[in-house]
Amino acid sequence: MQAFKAALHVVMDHPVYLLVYVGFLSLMGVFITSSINLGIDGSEFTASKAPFAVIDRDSSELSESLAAFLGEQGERVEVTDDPFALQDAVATGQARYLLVVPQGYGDEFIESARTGAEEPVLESTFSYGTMAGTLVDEQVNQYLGLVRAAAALEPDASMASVLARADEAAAKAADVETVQTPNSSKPADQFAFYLQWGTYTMTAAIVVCVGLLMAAFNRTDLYRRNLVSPMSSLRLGMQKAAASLLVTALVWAITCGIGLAAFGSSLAGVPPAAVALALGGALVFALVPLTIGFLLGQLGASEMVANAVGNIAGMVMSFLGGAWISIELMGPEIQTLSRFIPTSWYTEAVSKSVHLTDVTLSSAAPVLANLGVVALFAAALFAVALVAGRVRMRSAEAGGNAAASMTGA
Amino acid sequence: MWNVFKGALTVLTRKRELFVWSLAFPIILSTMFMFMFSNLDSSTAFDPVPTGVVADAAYKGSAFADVVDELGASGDDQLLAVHAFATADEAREALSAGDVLGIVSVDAEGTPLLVVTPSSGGVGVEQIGRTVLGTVVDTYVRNADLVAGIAADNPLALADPNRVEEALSRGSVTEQVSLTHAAPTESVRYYYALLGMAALFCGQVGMLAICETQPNLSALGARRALGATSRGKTLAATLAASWLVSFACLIVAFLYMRFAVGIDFSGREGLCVAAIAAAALLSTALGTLLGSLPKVGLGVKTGLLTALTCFLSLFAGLYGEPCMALADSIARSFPALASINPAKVITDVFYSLYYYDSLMPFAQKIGILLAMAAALFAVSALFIRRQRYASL
Repeated sequence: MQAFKAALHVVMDHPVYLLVYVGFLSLMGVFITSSINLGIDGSEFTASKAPFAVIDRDSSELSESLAAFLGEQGERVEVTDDPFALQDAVATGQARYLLVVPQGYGDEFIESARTGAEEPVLESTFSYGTMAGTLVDEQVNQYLGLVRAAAALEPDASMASVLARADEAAAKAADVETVQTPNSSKPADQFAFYLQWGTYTMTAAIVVCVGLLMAAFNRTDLYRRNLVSPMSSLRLGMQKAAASLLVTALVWAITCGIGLAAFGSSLAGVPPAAVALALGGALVFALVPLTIGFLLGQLGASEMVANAVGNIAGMVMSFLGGAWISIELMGPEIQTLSRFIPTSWYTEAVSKSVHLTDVTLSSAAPVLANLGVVALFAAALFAVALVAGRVRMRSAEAGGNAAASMTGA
Repeated sequence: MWNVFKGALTVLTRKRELFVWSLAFPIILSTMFMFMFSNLDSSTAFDPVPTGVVADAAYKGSAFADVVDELGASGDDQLLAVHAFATADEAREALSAGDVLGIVSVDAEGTPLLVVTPSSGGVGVEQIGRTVLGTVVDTYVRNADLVAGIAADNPLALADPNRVEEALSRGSVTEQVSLTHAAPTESVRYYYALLGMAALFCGQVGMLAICETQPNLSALGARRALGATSRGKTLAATLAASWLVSFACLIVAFLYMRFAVGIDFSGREGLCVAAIAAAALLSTALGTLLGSLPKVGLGVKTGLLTALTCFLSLFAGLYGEPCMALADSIARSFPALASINPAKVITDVFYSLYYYDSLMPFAQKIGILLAMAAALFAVSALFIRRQRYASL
C-alpha cells in the first residue's frame, strides 16, 4: 500500500490542480448551465420571442404602437441611439433585428397609404442568424400592413381610430394545434447539459491529476529506485492504477455533487434509476480521461505536457463530442468524426437517460449500449497504455530527459 | 546586450514544451473551430420554412391558398418552402418525421389552421421557423378580421373591391441595411476569443524567461546574476526576447487563422498585426509578473497561469454560445470589468476592427492593453529588483 499512499500524496500535494480543475471548472459549468435558456416547455406551442430593438426617432402614435405590438411578439431590448451602441447590438446578437423609425415616418406612412404615393421605407438591420431577423421583419410588415389597410379603407378616420382598428385586428390569432412528438425537451435537460458540459471538467481534471501522479513516479532516479526495489512492477502498477482510479472517482463525485446541488431540483419528474444511469454514465466516461492520463504517464510525459494535453484534449473532446455545441449544428463530416470521439456517445447516453420515463432493461438498453462504447474506448486506450509502458521500460532512455527537466517535479 | 538577447532567445526556443501552449494550442483549436463552425453561420441563416399543406378541396381555391402560393414562390423573398400533401394524415406523418415544421390547412369556412410540434424553446432555428409560420397564418386571420370589422361598422368603405385588394396588397415596408463595417457573423468572435486565450497562454514564455533570470529559481538564473552584464540590461534583453517569441507564435496562429481557416479580418490585417504586437506585450508582462512571484515553484505558476487564462477566457466568451451570451451581458452591464480582463480586451481589439467603421475604439483598446502591460511590469519590478534570496 506504500506506493498507493505515496501516489495519493502526490495528488494531494498539488491542491491547486484539484481546486482549479475540479472545483473551479465545475462552478463554471454551473454558471453556464444556469445562464442558458433551454426553453423548457413540453406540451404547448408558444411563439419564440426574438430579441429586437426599435430606435424610435419619430415618437409618433404609429411608431409607439408598432413598438408596443412588436414588444408583445418578441423581447424588446433597449439600445441607445448611438452609432457604436447600434453596431454592438447587432454585432453581438443582443438584438437580432434592429429597426430605425425615422422622424416624421408616422404621418408620411398614413398619407401614402391614403393617397397611393410611394411608401416611406424603414431601415432594418439583421444580426447574425438571419432567421430571427426575418421573423421580426415579418411581424413589422404584418402590423404596418394592418395599419395601411385600415387607413386606406377609412380615409377620414383619425390616427387614433386607425391604430385602434389595427390593434383590434392584431389581437386575433389563428388556431394552432400542437401535436406531440417523442423528443420534446424536459426540465431535466438542464442537469443533462451540466453533465455534458462537465466532460471538459472531468477530462481536464482527471488527465492532469492522473498525469501528475504518474509523472511523479517517472522521475529518473525514482524510477530507477523503484525498478530495483523488491516490489514487482505489476504490483507497483496496480497500486498506481488504484490510486488513479480513486482520484478519478473523487473528481467524478465532486463534479456530479456540484451538479446535483445546483440542478438537482430539475430532476423532479425523472425516476431515480434514470438519474443513477446518467451519473453512472459520467463515471464510465471518467474512465476515458483516466486511461489518457495513464497513457501519458506510461509515455513518460511531464507535468507540463499532462497539463497541456488535459486541457487541449478536454476542449477538443467536448467540442467534437457535442457537449458545448449541438452536434446537429455541425457539418456531416464532423458528425461522422464525432462518432470516433467517446464524448459523443456519452452525451447521447446522458440525454437519453434523463428522458427515460421508466427504467427497465429494454428501455435502458440503448443507453447501456452507448456507455458500452465509451467503456470500449477506455479499454482500448488502456491496452495501448500497457503496451506503451512495456516498450518504454525496455528502452534505453527510460526516464531520460525527465531527470534534467526543471518542470519534472 | 545583443548577446544576452540572443542567448535568451536560444533558451526559449529550445524549450519545446512552451510551444505546446503558445503555438500548437491556438492552431489545434482553430482547426477544430473551423470544422465545428463550418455550419454554424449557415445553419442559423434564413432558409424558407418547410411547410406542409393539406391540399384538399377546401384548401384549393381558398384565399389563403393564394397567400401561401405567393409566399412559397421561389425568389429572393421566398418565405415558405411548400410541400403539398393530399391528406391530413400524410401531412402529419411528415410533421412527426420532422420533414416539415408545421402544417397548414383550411376548413370548410375557409379559416386556416396551423398544426405544429411543441416548442423546442428559445430562438432555435426550428422554433423560429414555427413562429414564422404562425405569423403568416396570423397575418391572414388578422387582415380578414380587419376587413370584417370595417365591413360591420362602415360597409361603404368596402364598396370598391379594387380598393380592398390594393389596401391589403403586400408590399414590404422595410429595407435591409448594414450598420457594421462587416456583416455580423457568429463564428468570427470565437476565433477572436481564441486569439485572446492564445495571447494569455503566451504568458508562459515570459514566465519561463523570468524564471531563467531569477537566481533563486533556476541554476541558469543564478549564473546570470553573477555575470558582468547589469541586471537591467539582462532583464530588458530577456523580456525583448520573450516578447519576440510570443509575437512570433501569435503571428503564426493569426496567419493560420487568416489563410488556412479563412477567417475574415475585414481587410484590416495590418492593424491586426499591430494588435498582436500589443497583445504579445501584455502576455509578456503577465508572464513576468507570474514568473517573478517569489517562493512559488514553476509547476504552481504554470497552474496559476492556466487557471487564470481559462477563467478570463470564460468572460471573453470562448466556451460556446451560452458563454458568449454571458460574456456579452456582463460586458454591457459592467463595462469596467470587461476592460480589466485582458482576454476580453484582446478579443475586443479584433472585434472593433471587424465591426466598427471608426478606428477610435480600436485605438482605445490598444491603449488599455498598453496601460495594463505597463501596470503589470511595474508590479513585477517590485518582485524582480533588489530581492534578497538566500540570506543567512
